[in-house]
Amino acid sequence: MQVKVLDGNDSAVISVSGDVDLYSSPEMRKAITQLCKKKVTPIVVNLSGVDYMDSSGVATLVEGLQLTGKYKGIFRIACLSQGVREVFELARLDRVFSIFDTLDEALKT
Amino acid sequence: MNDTIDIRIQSNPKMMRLVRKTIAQASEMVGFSERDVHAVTLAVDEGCTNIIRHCYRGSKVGDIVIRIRMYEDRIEIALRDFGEAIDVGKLRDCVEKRRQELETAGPVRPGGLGVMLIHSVMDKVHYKTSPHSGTVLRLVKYLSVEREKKIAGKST
Repeated sequence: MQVKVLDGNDSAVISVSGDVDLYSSPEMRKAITQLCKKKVTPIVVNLSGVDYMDSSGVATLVEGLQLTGKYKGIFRIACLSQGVREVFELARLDRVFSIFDTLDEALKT
Repeated sequence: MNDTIDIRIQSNPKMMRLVRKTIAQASEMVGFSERDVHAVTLAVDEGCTNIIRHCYRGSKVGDIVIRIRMYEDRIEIALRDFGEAIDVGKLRDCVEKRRQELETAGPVRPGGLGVMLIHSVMDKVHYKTSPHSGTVLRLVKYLSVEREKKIAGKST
């Protein structure tokens, strides 16, 4: 899995690629928590390169949502593959997260 | 048809990618749709993740034995660990509580998602646990056509 962070002045995009599971999710968690410490908002997690995510990855994103909520920040996820979207739907978290089809939409809104 | 594959891995999260690929290929051989291949793979991944996190408490040197049985109408997967026994009653309560929370749009929290996902995607989930010999988690998923036939048979 690869995690790239584009940290702008007022926003940040975390682009993740590869499988997100128990082994790899700590790397995504590290990127999210570092931005949350700086109270960056909005934080957009671009999942266009992720074909597979298990509950470890979902739990990491839930943590991001909770951390940004503490400083009233915005946490969004974008570009979910069908498989990743299904996991969010199964966990019924699709109604909890702000999910966008494209990165542009996630950044513009 | 009843083809069997046995895999023995150490409780290292790094091994999960290999397990997922094997489960996905076995599910494809049975004839599952892409969506169901993903569902079975996810359930096994979550089962192994729970073993690593809870039964072996993160240790990478425990053994996990995975037996895959492929039938004409279903796939059966048994996950065996040799770690600490689990409280099956507590686990059922956790799944039920989590479901209720989600139904009522209750608090969003990261814990307990894996078990809930397993129960959501598999047709049968059964735990057999012992303080001396660990736990066996048995997962069964039927091909959709076969499942529809069974449901139709029950309703007539």
